[in-house]
Amino acid sequence: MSNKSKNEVNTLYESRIFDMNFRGTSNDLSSVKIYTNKNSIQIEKQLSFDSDDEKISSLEYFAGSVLSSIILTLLEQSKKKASIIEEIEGVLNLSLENPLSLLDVRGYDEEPFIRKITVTVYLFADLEENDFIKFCTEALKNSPVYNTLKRSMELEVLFKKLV
Amino acid sequence: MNNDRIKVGAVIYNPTVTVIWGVIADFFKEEGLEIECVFYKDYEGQVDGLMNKEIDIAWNSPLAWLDTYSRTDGKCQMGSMRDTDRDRKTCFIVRKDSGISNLVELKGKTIGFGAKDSPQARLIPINHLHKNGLEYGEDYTEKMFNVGVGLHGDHIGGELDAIKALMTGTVDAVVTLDLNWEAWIKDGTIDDNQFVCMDTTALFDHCIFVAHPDFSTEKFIEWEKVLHKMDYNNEDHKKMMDMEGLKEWVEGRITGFQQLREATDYLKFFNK
Repeated sequence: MSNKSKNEVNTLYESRIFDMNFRGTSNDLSSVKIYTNKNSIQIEKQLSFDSDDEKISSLEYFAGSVLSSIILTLLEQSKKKASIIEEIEGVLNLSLENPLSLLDVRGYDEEPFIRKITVTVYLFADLEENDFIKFCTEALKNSPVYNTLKRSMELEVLFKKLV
Repeated sequence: MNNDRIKVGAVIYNPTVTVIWGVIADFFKEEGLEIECVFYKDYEGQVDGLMNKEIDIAWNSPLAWLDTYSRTDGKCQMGSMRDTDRDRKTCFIVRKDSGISNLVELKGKTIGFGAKDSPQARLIPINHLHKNGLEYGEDYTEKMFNVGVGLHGDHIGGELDAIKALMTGTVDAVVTLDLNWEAWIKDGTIDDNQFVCMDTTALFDHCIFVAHPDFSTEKFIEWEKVLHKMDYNNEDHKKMMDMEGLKEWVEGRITGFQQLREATDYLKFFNK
């Protein structure tokens, strides 16, 4: 194959970009149904301040997406290296700024936004300290969610080695 | 939107508190008397809202009650309060080994207070000191811990910071609401082997519902009747009542605000 044709292949849109589309509807004009390829999820609130609320909110899905993407990328990379991770657990802390604006509290009008996310991942892996950090850092590069958010917000990921 | 709904104002500094008001609103709806909750950042805004008739009823701090009472020439209508709002007192806390055993011995000392506008952690205790011969600005040094100014001492932070200052020795005494003192001993925040409550103010009352003078008294009475139907034995109500810190709603009274009235006069609080 000539150099020209190689470049043509490499500049193909599909080879650079994977597009995903989601449809959201609201028949009751209250909750939203989001359709995935083969499934759907119903979301009733952006965020609930009621600790007894069992329904998953938009913000919880978002946090779940961040945490799951980071844990999954570590697991995927582990499998490529003879399953070096034996145990893994993560904790995500999210700080939402200006929550009272969401509740129409008079006197608060600044936009609510996520100020900071800190993810702490606890791993049991048979690696020396330097190799452990190298593995985790390299694995993280394969999380599209992490790579996107790190460009736009304060996102810290910490790795703790279990012994 | 149904404009017949009674508009009830509340000051909110923590989003989880809106859950309480959601439970109250649901309860009133079930009882056939719908309310609309209107939330404010601080009590000044809420009293303004009541005066402007944005709301019919306000859940007021004692200082907000006094502000409303004054701004309506005493014509605002008095509603219910929590059982726990009645007969509160402020404790004067010192180190056991400080040698301070009465208020007179606080002369020349530094006293830690809560927020500037806290009835229980600044205004009433300052008046108590005045009644006991210690004049504000002369006989002791005031160290304020201004957390959540505008919330009239609703936020515990100022009182907690004052207690921490007492622990580190940067103040000689602090004032705090009796309920906080008891809770902090219970949860270990403070060691009662080292610290002691050496004096208390006379009893006073705390929050109260207040209606605008023009709001239908008949409707206010009806609203109060429904409110008093809340039952601590009902699991749904219990959650809200625990969060708001009450076991039952009781009749409001203004006699418990006398010390606060004296305090604001003494400090010329509303004249500043």
